[in-house]
Amino acid sequence: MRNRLRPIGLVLLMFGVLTFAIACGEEAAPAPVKPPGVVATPIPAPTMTPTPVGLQPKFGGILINSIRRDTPSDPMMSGDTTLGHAGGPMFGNGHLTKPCRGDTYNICAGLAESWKPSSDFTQWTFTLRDNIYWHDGTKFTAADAKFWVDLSVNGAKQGDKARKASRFAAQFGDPISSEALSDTELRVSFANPFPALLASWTAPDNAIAHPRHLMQPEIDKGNPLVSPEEVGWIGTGPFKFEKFDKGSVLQVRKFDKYWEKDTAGRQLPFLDGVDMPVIRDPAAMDAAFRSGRIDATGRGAGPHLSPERKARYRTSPVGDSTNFHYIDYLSWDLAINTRVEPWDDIRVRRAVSLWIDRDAGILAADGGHGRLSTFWGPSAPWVNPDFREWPGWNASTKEADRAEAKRLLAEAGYPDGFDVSIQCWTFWVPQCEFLDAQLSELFGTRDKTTQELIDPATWFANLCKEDGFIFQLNSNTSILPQQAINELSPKAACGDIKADDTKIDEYFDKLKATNDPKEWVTLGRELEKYIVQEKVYYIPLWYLVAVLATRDYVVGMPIPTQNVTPDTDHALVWLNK
Amino acid sequence: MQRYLAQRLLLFIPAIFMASLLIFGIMRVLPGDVALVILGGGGVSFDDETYQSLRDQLGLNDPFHEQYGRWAWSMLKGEFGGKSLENQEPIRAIVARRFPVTLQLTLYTIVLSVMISVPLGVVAALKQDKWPDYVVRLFTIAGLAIPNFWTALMVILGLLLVFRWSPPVIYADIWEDPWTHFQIMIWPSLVLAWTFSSYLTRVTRSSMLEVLRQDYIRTAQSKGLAERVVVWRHALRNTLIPVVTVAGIYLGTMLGGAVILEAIFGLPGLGEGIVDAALNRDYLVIQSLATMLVFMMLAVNLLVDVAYVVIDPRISYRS
Repeated sequence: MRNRLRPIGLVLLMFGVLTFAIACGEEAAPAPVKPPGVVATPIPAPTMTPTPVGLQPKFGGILINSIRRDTPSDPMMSGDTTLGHAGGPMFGNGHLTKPCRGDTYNICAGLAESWKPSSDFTQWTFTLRDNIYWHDGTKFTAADAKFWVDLSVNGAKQGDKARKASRFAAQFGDPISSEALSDTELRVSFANPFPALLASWTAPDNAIAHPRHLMQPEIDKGNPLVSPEEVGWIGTGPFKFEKFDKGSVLQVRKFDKYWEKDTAGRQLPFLDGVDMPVIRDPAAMDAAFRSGRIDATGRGAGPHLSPERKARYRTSPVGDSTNFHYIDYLSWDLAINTRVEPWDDIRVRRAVSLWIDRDAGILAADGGHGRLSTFWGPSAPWVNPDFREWPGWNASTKEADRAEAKRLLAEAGYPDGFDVSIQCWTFWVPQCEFLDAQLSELFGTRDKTTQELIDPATWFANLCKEDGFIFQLNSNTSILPQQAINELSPKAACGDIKADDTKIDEYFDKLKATNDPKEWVTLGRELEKYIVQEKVYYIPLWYLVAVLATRDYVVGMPIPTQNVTPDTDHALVWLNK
Repeated sequence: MQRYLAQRLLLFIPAIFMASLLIFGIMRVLPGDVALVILGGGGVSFDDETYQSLRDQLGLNDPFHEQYGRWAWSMLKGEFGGKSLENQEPIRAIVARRFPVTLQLTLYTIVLSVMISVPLGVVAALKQDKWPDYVVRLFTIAGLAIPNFWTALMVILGLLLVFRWSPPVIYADIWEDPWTHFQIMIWPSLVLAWTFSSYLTRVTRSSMLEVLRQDYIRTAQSKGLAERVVVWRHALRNTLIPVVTVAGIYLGTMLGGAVILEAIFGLPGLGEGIVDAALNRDYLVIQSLATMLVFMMLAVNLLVDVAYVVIDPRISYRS
């Protein structure tokens, strides 16, 4: 018997050694942009969760706000919604400038308290606040800001290893140099005038997560790819990193030397910390909220509540103490390769745009959680105010629009439609189903349309190839018109518009060349009309509205006008319990 | 026996090599890559220069043989393939973090399953076509027919509606907080154990029925041995060979992670990591984890083969 047991012992020993080796391993109308100068941070903004009358903010407590997956760490590399959500408390929303709280279309002061362009807009000088500290206690100076600008624009190289420029590099313009004039003054110089610098580079998820005093030595040692996670998630935001058990929870705790105070002069943040449990399954997140395990739901596709789930929240034991928040999240669009038949014929594209019943789509595909819009956010100043009257958007002329669609299709030589495959993300089944049904209705048969459900990586690969897709369900999240260049410029390899047209880029050139917000509005509206109505290069459907839930004792959470990544620093949030 | 073991262990090498080549090839055939996922994660667009530059940075533009060679060398050095392409986390740390969770879930499930299925299977066989057999059949057929993700969701919903309670959302290690660990792990273990024990009960029942009809059982009964002794000493041991085979296969599969249940119950296990890596086209992580699973499957199979010798003295691997 002992002899027979010996081989089992050997194999078990092998397992044991393997497990031990692993265990011992490394752990590893237009709202104007504020003029140059001091801009007050609007605290509190009117869109925050309301403070009960007569109550003053309370200090202390841990907010439990779920996130939908493990977050990446580097805003320069990743545009993941989860990083925008989970990184906000540590890195803040924005950098020297940031979107105003609860007012996404305006730009406010961030780590810089003021800024001044030269008369020809080739130089911008930023004056930093004097009371900013990294979470390890090191003072934040202009040299740190210069390091961040240089790293963003140029990346880094050490030996045969190279770090690419930030994904925001194109939005920085073409700086020829940055210079720390003193501890609090940073000057950025450009080869060409860049009046629209602030609009171009202010994004909620373009945050400073790159401490020079920790990253430069790593780069010098031959690790230019060093990530914020590798240096301990050190930022300048209201909360400092405490612990990240991947797949389980990210915890941040109050940073006592945070630079910001509220209008009453109280030191922010109010909370002692934020726990962000990783809850991947929406049903599990719902149960956790309804049983009181979490105070606020996550952000991004999945956690956002559908109408059915929201209804169950209402009828649950905590239903009457739940606040719901609505954010214009992203536009559903149809991207078309106009270089391919039959989509090269504008009559075909226009027929599809005229035919689609957008109001029905909001109900059928998103359960009513949507708003009529184009690719700009429905509340954005640069949306044409009369777009609801446009053919294809106007519900009262739908019958006539559909008759016109049929006529155009017949005139183009496709009275009975043509074979079409709609590429959709695997998560976008309801929207894809709806489009399939609409096109089938237009063609008078279900035999010519197919849905191609693909995972995000495949979808992006197709988007980036010249002939990777012909007809694709797409989305757009740009907040300011200057930032839409990578999505809407036909020159962008991974852009949404495949067309031989230079006029769109002329619009973006003009947008870059002005810092007059009125001009942005005019140009944004012209661009919208040109793409959507005149050329039909891109067919916007509607805007998806994200629904978040918080318990009623969560007070002071700013709700952004558009996009779910601004206003995630939780500096003003407090718990009324 | 030792010679047999040595031969089997040597066979691991070509098997793992072939599997790793296959995994490497399949990942490269799939459209999309990790650079696209990193850049487009938030639904934002980017230009081709940024994309190519990131591919260079991640080494994705290098020739395939160089990429494979780098990864294989890193595996041989015990670094588990280096670092994740998506977030630069050492893969060894990923394995160290995720594997123990999956291993614990697997052990709990196996222990629960065996505790449930062997007695139930024996009872069902002994009471064939009587009411205990019907009850066991109902239990097992339901367990096999109902998808475990649905059961998991019903468990969560049931706990919420009846007790206004849900399992903790932050995973706790058994050594740090045993009570929280228990509250988190018990539900997925029970759900998985229902499915697994249903299968195992069926196998135990049919195997036991077959053994009970053997001559040596009749002999044992006719010489006046107590029913308990006949069943537990003579019949059960011979019933165990198919049971161990099935349990071994299941053990290997379970070590790959219970993907959906890990997501539903918030367990940071291996299955979740593999799915994440596959969706993100994190080639190195997928290659390393999949290769590790191949190794574990081979090892479990070897363990099962060796276990036969212990269970059945007639089996011998002597040449």
